[in-house]
Amino acid sequence: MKTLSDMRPVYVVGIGLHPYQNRSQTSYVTLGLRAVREALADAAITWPDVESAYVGNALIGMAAGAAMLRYLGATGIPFAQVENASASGSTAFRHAAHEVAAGYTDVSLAMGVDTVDQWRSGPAKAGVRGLADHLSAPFTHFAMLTQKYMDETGATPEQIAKVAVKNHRNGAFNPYAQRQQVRTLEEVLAPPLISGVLTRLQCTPVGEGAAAVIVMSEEGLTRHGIPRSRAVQVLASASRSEQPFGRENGDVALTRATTLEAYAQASVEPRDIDVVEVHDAFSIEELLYVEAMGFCKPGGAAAELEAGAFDIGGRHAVSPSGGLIAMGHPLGPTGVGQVAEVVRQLRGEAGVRQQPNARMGLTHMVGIGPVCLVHILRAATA
Amino acid sequence: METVRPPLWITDEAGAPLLRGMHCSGCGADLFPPQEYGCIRCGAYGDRLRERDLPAVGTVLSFAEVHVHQSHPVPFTLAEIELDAGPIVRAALAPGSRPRIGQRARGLIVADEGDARLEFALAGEAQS
Repeated sequence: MKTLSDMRPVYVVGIGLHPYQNRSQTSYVTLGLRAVREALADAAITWPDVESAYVGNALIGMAAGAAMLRYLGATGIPFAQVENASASGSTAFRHAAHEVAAGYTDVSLAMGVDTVDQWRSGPAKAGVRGLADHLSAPFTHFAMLTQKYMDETGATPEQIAKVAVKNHRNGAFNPYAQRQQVRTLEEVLAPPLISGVLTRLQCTPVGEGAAAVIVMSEEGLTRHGIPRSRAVQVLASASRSEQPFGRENGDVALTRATTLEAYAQASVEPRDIDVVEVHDAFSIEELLYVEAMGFCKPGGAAAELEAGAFDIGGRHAVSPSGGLIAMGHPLGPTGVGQVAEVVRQLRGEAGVRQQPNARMGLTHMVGIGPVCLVHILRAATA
Repeated sequence: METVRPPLWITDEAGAPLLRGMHCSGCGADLFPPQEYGCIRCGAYGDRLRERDLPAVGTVLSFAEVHVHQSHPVPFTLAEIELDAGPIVRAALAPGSRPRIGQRARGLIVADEGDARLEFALAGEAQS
């Protein structure tokens, strides 16, 4: 099986976002166009330079991407809308990167856009019901994982809440974040409880937004005069789905398997990664995933986080954007927004959120399925 | 547009609940919930999937007291239970349960305004 390491190099050369925000009357077209135009401007190219496009979204509906991109000036390029639950944007990015790496195109767009819309569950249509499906919800799934983690590691509810304190602090300095407010531990722990020990500020907000990135081949860089210093290489793209993982949580086991595959593709180790954007929809997830990714010992994440290992300036900056908890999780855009944050960090353009000397970054999304996508990106050599 | 399905549990002669699971002769696994599509472990389908009733007895893997729900009165406690037969199920615990991980739990039929529902009760706790 071929991977990105066997193909021609592919680079991210442009990033753009519409800020993630609470539900509003803004059209998804307005959200999406702002992100694409910002990415084109960042790359200093124009829409006719783009040879293909992938639009990730989970909620808007059939052909939404087509009805948005036409307002950039219809150029006749191939495009597709991509749905892969929470990982829709990450999957759009993977397809764009692969298309460029394989030589089909030199310039492709990957973007995500979503609004707060009715959630129509595909799996429910299979009609396979458990005993208490009507009582369960994502926050209860993760509340049960939190309980299990506390039982196994001795971590306290306060230690787990500190994930949200860190990510709200990061988000406070991100102009694209849905939540831009520093929160104390007391504020994060304050009622209302949602499920188990999880409070509102430890759960991702539901919102809307858009994110876009432009990917290019070497030929594309040359043709469009892109400065090498601002081109961030995509070293690895790993994508996996459910297997019978037994008693271990599926998202955690899947994260471990997918991340190991990405490390192997890129020939890197956990200690090489400076910046990480994880799927922290609920505070507990960050602790579980950084352990599964090898950024600390199993069971050690709560203490490491408390000691600052995952702060901006720490050993690995985890979710410097604010993550899903503070930047937000509008579904389609989220995975592309992670890539945009890592590219910003690897260019050294993240301002007060900058991880010093960031050379390599990793993005991670899980989605209902379960599915998992991991990408590894590397800064241009100085 | 959900497919209409038979109830997920029945009771034995003694009135104890049995979960209406499946057995896969392809890989030997007992499975729950039941479905006719195929075995998620090995892909066997058709005649190789047979109904098998599984005792509603197992061990608590985790739990959460739920404080927010759009239609069901809160709080209530949901648990993840590993059945002795193998499958992991999610089920409501009897009101007032104070679970801990590793505790044994057993299915219990509760009359509910002319209907009946299945809850799990913890070993060593009074059954309502």
